[in-house]
Amino acid sequence: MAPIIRIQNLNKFYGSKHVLKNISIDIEPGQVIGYIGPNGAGKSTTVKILVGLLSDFTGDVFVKGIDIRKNPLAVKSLIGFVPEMAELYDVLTPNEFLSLMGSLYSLSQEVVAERAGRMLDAFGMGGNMDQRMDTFSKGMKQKVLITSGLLHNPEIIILDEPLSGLDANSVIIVKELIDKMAKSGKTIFYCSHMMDVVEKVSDRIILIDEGKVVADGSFEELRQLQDKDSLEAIFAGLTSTQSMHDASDKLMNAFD
Amino acid sequence: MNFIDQFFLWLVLLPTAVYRKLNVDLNQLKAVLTAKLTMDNRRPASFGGRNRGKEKKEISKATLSTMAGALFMGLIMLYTFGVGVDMVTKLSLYLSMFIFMICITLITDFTSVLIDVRDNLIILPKPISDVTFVTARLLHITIRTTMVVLPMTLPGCITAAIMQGPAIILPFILIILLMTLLGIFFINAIYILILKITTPVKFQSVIGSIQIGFVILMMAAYQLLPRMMQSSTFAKASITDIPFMQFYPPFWFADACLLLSGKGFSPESMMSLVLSIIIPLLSIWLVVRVFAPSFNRKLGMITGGTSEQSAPVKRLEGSRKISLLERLAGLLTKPGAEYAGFIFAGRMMGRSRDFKMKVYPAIGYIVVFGFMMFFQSHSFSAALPGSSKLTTPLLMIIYISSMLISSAMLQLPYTDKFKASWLFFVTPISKPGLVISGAVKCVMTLFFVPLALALIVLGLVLQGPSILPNILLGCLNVLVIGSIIAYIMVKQLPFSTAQEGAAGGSTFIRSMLLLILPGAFGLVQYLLSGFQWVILLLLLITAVIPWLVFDEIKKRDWNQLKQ
Repeated sequence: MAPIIRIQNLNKFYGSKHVLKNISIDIEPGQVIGYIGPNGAGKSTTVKILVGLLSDFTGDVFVKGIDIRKNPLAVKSLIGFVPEMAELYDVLTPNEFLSLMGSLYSLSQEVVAERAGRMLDAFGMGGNMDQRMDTFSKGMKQKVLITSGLLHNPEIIILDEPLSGLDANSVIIVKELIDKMAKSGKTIFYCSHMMDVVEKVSDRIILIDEGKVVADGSFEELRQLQDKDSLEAIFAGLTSTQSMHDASDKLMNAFD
Repeated sequence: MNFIDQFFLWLVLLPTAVYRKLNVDLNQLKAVLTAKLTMDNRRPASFGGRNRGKEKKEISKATLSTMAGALFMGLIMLYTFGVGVDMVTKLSLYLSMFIFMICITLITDFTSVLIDVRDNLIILPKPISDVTFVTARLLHITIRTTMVVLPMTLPGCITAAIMQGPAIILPFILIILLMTLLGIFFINAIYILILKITTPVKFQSVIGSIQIGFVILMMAAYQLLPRMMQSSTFAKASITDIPFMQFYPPFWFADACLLLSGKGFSPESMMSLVLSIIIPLLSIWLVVRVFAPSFNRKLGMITGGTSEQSAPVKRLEGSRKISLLERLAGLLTKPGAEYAGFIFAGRMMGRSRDFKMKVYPAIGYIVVFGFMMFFQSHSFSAALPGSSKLTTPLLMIIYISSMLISSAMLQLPYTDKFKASWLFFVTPISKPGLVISGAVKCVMTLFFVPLALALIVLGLVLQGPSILPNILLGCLNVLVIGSIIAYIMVKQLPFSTAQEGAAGGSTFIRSMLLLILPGAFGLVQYLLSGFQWVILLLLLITAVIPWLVFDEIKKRDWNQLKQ
C-alpha cells in the first residue's frame, strides 16, 4: 500500500539552529502513530510542517501523493488538526467557532450545524453550544477544539496533546474514538508526553530526540529491543544522558 | 529596552527619597518596570518563530508613527495661540486641549497598561505591596505617556518661547509635566472609583461603556470650546473676564507658568502656582495611599471571577435561526473564506474588549460632531451657490465618519488572542485576501452603512431629492477612502496579530493622521458641490472604484501578508 504520509530527508533550521535532521518517515493509512520525544526534540516543528504552518524546510513531504509545498491547500483539506494549548477566539460560542471553521473548509452551514451539534452532544456539551467560550474550562475548550479538527471528516488527524485538561470520562471517549477512527481507515498522528496513553493507543511509536528519529516500531518491538517494561522506561533509556535521580537530586541541591 | 526607555527608567527612579517615604520597595519597583518596558517593545513571535533570533533593539515603526501623529496634533493645537488678547487666555486654551488629548489617549490606548490582567497571575501572587505595585503601574504609564507628550508639546513650547522669550521654556516643561501627572491620576482615580462601585466581574464590560460615555462627554466639551472662541467677542476677550475661572485647572497651570517665567505677578497667580503643584501631588498621594490597596484586591478578582460560569441551556431543536449578520454576509460576500471573514470580523468586533476600547470612542466623536454640525448648520451661509445650506454640514459628517472606518481598520488585525489565528493557517484558504476582504466589507457595513442610510433619509426629509447626488457621492467617496486605507493598512488577517506593545498602540492618534485623506476628498467635493452634472458624473466613476480595490485586496497572497 502506498504511504499516506511520506516524509523524506526533512531538514529544518531556525536561523542557524538545526532542529530537524534528515527525518524520513513513511506512514500507512489506518495507522495510529505515537510521536514522542523530549522537550525541544522537534515534535512541534514536524507537526507544523505537516499541517502547513511552516513551509521553509528542505526535503520532501507528500500527503496522499501530494507535495505539500506544491499544493498546500489540497493537503490542508485532507488533514484535521487539534493544536496543543487551547488557543481559541473565546468570545465566540462553540456554534460560531465551528461554523467559522466549517466555512474555511468549505462546508455548508447546514452540514456544520448538524455535525457540530451531534459531536458536542456526544461530548455532553450540547447545552453549551450558544455560550461564549470565555467562561469554559480548559477541558470544555479542548472538546470544542477536537470537534473542530474532526468537523470536515478528514482522512488524516493530527492530534497534539489532545487529552490535556480533559476529565477521566472524556479521556476514555477520545481514546476509544481514536481506535474507531483508525479501524475505519483514518490515519492518526498522535503527539504526546503522556507515555501511558501513547503506549495504549498507538500501533507504531516514533521517538525523536535532537531532531533525529531514535526509535521507530510497535510498542512490542521497542520493548524487546530495549528490554524495558514500559514506554516511560524506553523513553528514558533512549533520550536521557543522565539519570533522572541525579537530576532531581541536583534540583534539591540547588537550595544549598 | 531601547535607549529611550533606559533613559526614562533612570529618570523616574531618581527620587528615591520620595519612594521610600511612600513605603515603596525600590528593588521590586525597578524589577517590575524593567520587565514591563522590555515587554512593551517586544512582539511575541508569530507562528513558526519567524522572529526568533532577531532581537529588536531599535524603536518600532509604530512608536515612530504614534510620535509623528502626536507631533501633528501638537501643530494643530497651535491655533489656540491665535485666540484671546492675553497670554493667559492663549495658554489656558492650549493647556485645555493638551489635557484633553492626554486623557483621551490614556483612555483609548493605555487602558491595557493600567489594567493588565496578566498581572493577576504573575505579579499579584508575589509578596509585593500594593503601594509598590501601583507606583510601578503609574510610572510605567507615565513613561509611555511621555513618549506622546514630548512631540505633542514641542511645537507649543517653541511658539510660547517665540512669543514670550526663552524664559518660559522651563516653566512650560514643568507645567506640562504636572498636567500629564494630573491626567494620569485623574483617569486612574476614575477607574478605581468604577471598581469600587461595580463588581470586579462586571468591571470589564462596564469599563468599556463608561469609556465611551466619558469620551463622548470630553468630545462635547472639546467641541464647545472652539465654538466659544469663534464668537467675535471672545476672540478679543481675556479668560480672566470669565467668572469662576479660578476653578478651571488649565487656567491655574497657565497662570502659574507665566508667573514662573517672570510675567504677571499677583496674589491670584501665586494661588494658581500653589494649586498647580499641590493638586497633582495630592492626587498622587490619594491614588497611591488611599485608593491603591482596595484596587489591587479587586483587580485580582477580575480574572478570578470566572465562577459565574453560565449553566448549560437546553438546546432548541428545529430550524436554525439565521442572524442579520449572516444575511448581510450572504448578500455581500462569496461563500467560503470571504463569507467566513465577514461573519468572523462582525462577531469579534462586537465582542473583543480590545477592539471596542480602541474603536468605539470614535463613535462618540462622530455623534457629538454630528450634533454640533447639525445645530450649527445655519452658520454655513458660506455654502457655495447652487448647493443647499444643508449639503455642507451633512457632507462634513459623512467625511468625518471615515475616521471611524479607519480606526476600525487599523485595529482590525490586532487582538490579545492572536495565537488563536492558527485556524486560518491550517485550513485550506487559497488566498488570505478573501478573509481580509470579507472582514473589511464587514467594517464598512457595520461602521458606515447605518450612518449613511440615516443621513440619506435625513437629507431627503429636510431637503428633498435634490440633495441626493451630493450625499451619495460623499458616501461613495468614504467607501473609496475606506477601501484604499484597507488596501494600504490592512495587511494581516483579522484578529491575528499581537498589538505592537503599549509602545506603539495609539490607534486614535494614528487614525487622526489618516483624516488627511477624507479631508482632501471632502474639499474637492465641497468646491464642486454646486455643479450637479459634475457630481452625477463623478458618482458614476466613483461607484466602480471600491470594487476594483476589493478585487485587489482579494488577490492578496500568503507571501504578501505582513509578518
